[in-house]
Amino acid sequence: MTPLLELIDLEKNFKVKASSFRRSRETLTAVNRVNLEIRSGECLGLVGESGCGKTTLARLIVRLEKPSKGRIIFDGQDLSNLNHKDEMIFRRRVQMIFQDPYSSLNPRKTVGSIIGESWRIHSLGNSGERREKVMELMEEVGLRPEFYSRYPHEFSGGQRQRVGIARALSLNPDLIVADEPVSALDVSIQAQVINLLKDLQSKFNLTYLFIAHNLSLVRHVADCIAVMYLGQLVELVPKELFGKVHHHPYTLALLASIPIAKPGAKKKAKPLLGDVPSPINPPSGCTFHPRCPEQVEVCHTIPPELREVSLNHCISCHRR
Amino acid sequence: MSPQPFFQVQDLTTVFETREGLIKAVDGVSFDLAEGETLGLVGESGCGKSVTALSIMRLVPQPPGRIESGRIIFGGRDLLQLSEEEMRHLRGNDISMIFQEPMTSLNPVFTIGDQVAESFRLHQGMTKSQALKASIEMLHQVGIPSPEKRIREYPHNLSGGMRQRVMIAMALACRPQMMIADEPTTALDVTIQAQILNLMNQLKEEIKTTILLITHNLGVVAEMADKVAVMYTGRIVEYAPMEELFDHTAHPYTLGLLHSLPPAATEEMKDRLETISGIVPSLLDLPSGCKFHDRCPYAFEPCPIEEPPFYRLNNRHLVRCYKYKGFA
Repeated sequence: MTPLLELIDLEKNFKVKASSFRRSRETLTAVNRVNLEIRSGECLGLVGESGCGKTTLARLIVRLEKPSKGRIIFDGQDLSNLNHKDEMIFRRRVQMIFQDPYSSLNPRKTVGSIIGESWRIHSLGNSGERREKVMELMEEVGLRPEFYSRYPHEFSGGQRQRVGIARALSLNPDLIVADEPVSALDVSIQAQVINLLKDLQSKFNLTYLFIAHNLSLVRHVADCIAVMYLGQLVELVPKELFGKVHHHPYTLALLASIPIAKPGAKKKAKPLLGDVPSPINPPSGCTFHPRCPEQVEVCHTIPPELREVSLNHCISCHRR
Repeated sequence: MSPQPFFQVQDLTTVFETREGLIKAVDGVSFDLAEGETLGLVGESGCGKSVTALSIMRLVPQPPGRIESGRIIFGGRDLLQLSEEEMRHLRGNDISMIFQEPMTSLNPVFTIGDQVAESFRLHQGMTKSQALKASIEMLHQVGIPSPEKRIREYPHNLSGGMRQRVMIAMALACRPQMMIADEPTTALDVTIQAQILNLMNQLKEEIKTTILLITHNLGVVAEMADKVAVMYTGRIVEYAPMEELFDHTAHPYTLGLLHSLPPAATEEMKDRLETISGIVPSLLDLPSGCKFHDRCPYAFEPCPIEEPPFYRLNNRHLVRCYKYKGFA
């Protein structure tokens, strides 16, 4: 089966000013040669710390950014040479849910017009049909249709995120890119939204790219987990194998860092030392080596390739 | 009579006057801390945990806020009766605070050295060079590499984790007897969070600081706290030693919170997360009786009528729920 979305050697560079007083510019590689596939109906979870390039990757996929190198293939079609008509079709099929339910909704518009906006943009239906569709969607995501003419500030964070989800669903997309959809929400509300996303996935046969920094959460929702560090994929592991295989040292460190709500669940591993290095001037060899507890000579000089170490399990590490 | 605890909050009520009406952000909160102990104050946003901390430091913006009643006993004195002058002396010297957002709580136009040295100069009357030397020592203690270089840098030169270390160094500068940490790791990445938690635990061992830890993260509580108070709509609903709270969770709200966490990556998978139905009610429009009853799966006749008192499950475990009516 061909994958719904395929990323081939995808790379994104930004030119950044080296210092506020100098003219010179340096290159920041936010996404570095990423190869990834998402099959239809699957949920791929992408984890990593801030600055690892996960949001840039999401923005590349929904075409809010143009790749510097590499290709994105969506449903067999290369996105680099789309004409206007194909682009409009593509944009209907791929939608995004944003992290911050406060800044991602226009405060001057009613939730009804926020959810119905995509239908207006793509000239679908007349106003009566649009209204009906919006109400249907609101019901689907657990909002009362009477709220149609209310404004975003009248809703709680969890409800606003439901509005964002309804908006993403309005064009019956195939792929939904959810960038940290619950990290701004309280624990009890998080669980409600996660359950909703899961229900909608099976109901509408959606494909998700689910981005989060919380490994426990990603393992809960995803079928396959991708771990990113400094713009590169370091591990790709199907959920069934998670915890049963020999993981990348960074994945292990992430696992050991999560505080567990269980007394005495003390960790074996020591926390990682140091900070994430700057992506402007990444370390030589394996970019993780300065923080890696298992580093050896070769890690300092030769960057490891992402390779399949066992069926469907890919790792980029000299020690695995 | 039992000896006076090291730190005690009794029946604290803090209100805010808003255009829509009076809000009780903290309603009759009581807890105490023994010397060297860490209390975790847990709850979701808007439950009053940060206002409790600000009330203790007497930093509630006034107006619209007002501490309506209660006593905060520390070192034999009631902090609410102190003059502003005495309070200023106490802040930083005896009780210090770490805030959630290390970027906004550091001053961007002063160097790290200036800011850490400030507490030494203000509270301990050191000269500038003495204070700088003490700052370097302090920054070294919180694990900042090459502190003699770092003191000349500005907050924007540092990463989030480093900034939070600077905050901790500032808070610990005068060897306070007590530290209030308001969501100290929430803005940090997990690997950095683990470093900061380790550091706090290590400093706790070394200098025996008493900590009031405010967080929404039950995992952080399990790692740091000796006892826990769970807050909901401005009230404490459950109060117990940390292990007792996790092993014998009593209040339906605490249970709901624990169950809605995704299982840790090392634990058995769940098909669905359990949820608490509904949303946290607005403080302007609280339900009658037990404030949790309309979201509670165990609610029965008395719950909507009158607010439950604390029932004592054992010597140290208190819970505000009619399910435990049999206990005195």
